[in-house]
Amino acid sequence: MGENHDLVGNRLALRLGFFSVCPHADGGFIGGYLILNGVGRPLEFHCTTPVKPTRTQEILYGATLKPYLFGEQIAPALIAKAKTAVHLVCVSQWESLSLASQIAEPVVLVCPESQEPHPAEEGHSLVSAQFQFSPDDNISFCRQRSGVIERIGLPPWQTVWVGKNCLAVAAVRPEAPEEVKQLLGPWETGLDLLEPFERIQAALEETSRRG
Amino acid sequence: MFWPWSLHGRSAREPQAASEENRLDDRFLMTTRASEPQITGSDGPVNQIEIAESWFPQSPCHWEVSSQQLDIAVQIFPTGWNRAIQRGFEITTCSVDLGSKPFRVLSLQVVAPSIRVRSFFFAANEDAASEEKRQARGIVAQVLPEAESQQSNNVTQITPRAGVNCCEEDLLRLIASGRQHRIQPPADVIKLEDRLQYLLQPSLEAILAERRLEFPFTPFPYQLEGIAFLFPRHAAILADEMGLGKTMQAITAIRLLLRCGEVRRVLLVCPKPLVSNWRREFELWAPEIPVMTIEGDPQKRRWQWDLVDIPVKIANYELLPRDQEFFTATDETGQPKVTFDLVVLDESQRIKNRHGITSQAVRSIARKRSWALTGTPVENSTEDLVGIFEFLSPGFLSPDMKPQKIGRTVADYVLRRTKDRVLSDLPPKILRDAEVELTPEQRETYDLAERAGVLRLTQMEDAVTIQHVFELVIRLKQICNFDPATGASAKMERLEADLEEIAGSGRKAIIFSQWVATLEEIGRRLAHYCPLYYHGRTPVRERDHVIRQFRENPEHRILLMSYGAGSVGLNLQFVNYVFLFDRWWNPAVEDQAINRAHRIGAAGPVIVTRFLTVDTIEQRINMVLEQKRELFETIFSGAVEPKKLALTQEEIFGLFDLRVTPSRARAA
Repeated sequence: MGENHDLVGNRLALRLGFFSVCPHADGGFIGGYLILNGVGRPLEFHCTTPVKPTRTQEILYGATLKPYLFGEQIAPALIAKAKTAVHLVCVSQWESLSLASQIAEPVVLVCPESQEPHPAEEGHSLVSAQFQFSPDDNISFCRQRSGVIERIGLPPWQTVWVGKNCLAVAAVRPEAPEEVKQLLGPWETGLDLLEPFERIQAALEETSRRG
Repeated sequence: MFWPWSLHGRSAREPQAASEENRLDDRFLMTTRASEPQITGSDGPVNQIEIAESWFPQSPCHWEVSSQQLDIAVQIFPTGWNRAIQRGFEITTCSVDLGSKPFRVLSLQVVAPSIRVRSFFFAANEDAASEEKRQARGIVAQVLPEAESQQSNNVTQITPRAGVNCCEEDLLRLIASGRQHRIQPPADVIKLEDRLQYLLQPSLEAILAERRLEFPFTPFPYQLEGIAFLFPRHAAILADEMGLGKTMQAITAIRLLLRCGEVRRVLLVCPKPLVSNWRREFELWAPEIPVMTIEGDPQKRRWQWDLVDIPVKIANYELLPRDQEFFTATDETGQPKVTFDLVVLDESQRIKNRHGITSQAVRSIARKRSWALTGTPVENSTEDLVGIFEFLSPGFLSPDMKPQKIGRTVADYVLRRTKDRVLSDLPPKILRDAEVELTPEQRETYDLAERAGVLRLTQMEDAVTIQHVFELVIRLKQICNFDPATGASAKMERLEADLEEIAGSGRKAIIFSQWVATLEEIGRRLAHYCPLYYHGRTPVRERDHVIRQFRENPEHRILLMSYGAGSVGLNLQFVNYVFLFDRWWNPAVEDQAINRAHRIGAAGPVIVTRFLTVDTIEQRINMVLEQKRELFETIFSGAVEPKKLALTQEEIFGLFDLRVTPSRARAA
């Protein structure tokens, strides 16, 4: 983030990473990592072959399996292949916020309108909890207690609004939310951080179709 | 039920001698109904006693004890039981080895999943973007000096308008609304990396907004879809219904390709009357792009063909066969000297005859991309489409293919939208078939002409050709318009009645006919409406003026147009009434004519009146036209194949109940 001063007035120099995971038809997940410049042009795209957790992993990781797979295994593997350093990594799933503990750059969850976090949720996270694992059930990953959804195995986060984008910034470092505001604030007009995930989705579908 | 019992030590079965005490103890006769303990075992030491249940003290047992002095000598048998009972327990211990097998520990290693990654790198870095900007500027900067010096050579250079982009906000609003159009990879792009290159681009709205492309009007969503369709394709037909803005879509796609550096030299070919229209549209939709019209004497045209720094050149179809030697000339290495990155054919039905010289000339242009624009890709038969594809992708279609198969084959290459589907807010088009009875004078002349004509054709026997039939058809159709002897016209009577009402309401009307003579006769009779003429005999240089007068001068309420001159490329949205005084052979041409008025920007409903004289050749032709419409629907909507596909020779002869004989077919 020390190079952010280079971005002043130069949107083209901005580099944003977008990470998303899709379920694969044959089971497991495929991850996609897209790097865009500041005007939304693709620079790099990396995707995984299907990653299928074993039964042992399902049992042992329980509710924390997805945070482990998405944020600690798939995302770092993809980012390791990238040649372009990014200023920020946007993710589309709560589970992927665990990536924040793996990389130095800020990690933000771009929340769809329907899934904006409740203000009361901020800072909540459960490092461990007794839950049964059920692979397709997000309830295993988050639970509701006293009207507040608590998510398991994730760092605490803070909600930041940039233009129309609602971002949950993983607050591994306390200064991360402020960094995100400073980075994206100047370009907030017309900025749509959800749209690139549609591209990742289309690219992953195409990749899956082509084997 | 038996209880296992284990004893260790001395045998309980050891024989003992009877003693005196035993005798005393055994004075009583003991009888039992219960089973005595059963001692089982092998010959060795007894190690197990099986005890009957009833013998067990807790279980119910049935002892009967009685004491009675019996004077009976009792012989006591030395059983040894009492002695055995009195003997104390002797306890010995022994060890059992229970730990013969060691405990096993199972270790499960949680291995991180093996993850394989595929990587794709794209060239769109900031250097490319800078290059893109440089190129965009370069289009103007490099060409402008030359363009300025070549004003007399018809290079149009419009200075980009200063100020804000008038529709960027609209585009941003479209983006915000989520209705975005993506550039999808065409089916013929096979390589995954190439396909991803398209899929990972931002939406078209975002690209347009980012590049700050200026538009006079915000494009309709379906127009953005059309641009996204054209942009990635090397072979494409934009076959939108007339009036949906094919011109704008093509120009914007060309503009984007030029901006991206995907193309540098574009040739647009259109009918000669539409050249000025295209120049106007370029000025409107892409003012920064220099456009050159190829025209003038042969020397000048040769020089124009050779110019390389002009991004867009416009040529007309009529010119191409004559200039073929210019644009097919090769250099010393055998490569063509004139090449284009993109050739766009407007009204591409002009090359439907693949054996025609225009088609051959067009196909000889060296090019990388080929687009065709037409509202009527199929006018008569599937051959029309085959002809267009010979330009787009030679050999892709064959005339033997069935319409449904053609429809499937070309699906990825053709984009066809109709107004009904995409313009929910376009005012309606109301079609009225005005069936009129011939006047008695007309009927008499008509019947006479038909009888005489058919008689002549019949007498000609095998010598009759399709041309002879056509001659008769034309003669009869002309009688349906005006009786040549008396000038009587049922259509004219009806038209005059309608026009009175229209003129009274201050509206304007276009009247179409296929003959100039008919138009002039109509004009003579409607002189009080100050009609204007737009037909093949109207000089090209005067045509724009005619249209301007009709649009701006309220005195001119009527425009008399021929199908040939006025059916394409004109925007007459201010007209509310269209009359088809006679019917063209082809419904597509009729549609073109109608859509001069019924198009984007139409102020209100467009009422189309199609005159049809009852019980005449016109009615018979109308039936054939309807069948052609069915053919079109079959190819472009996947409808069920109609029984009759096109106007065949049999059908043309059949208009007069004639049959095609082999010799007639040869003559045709």
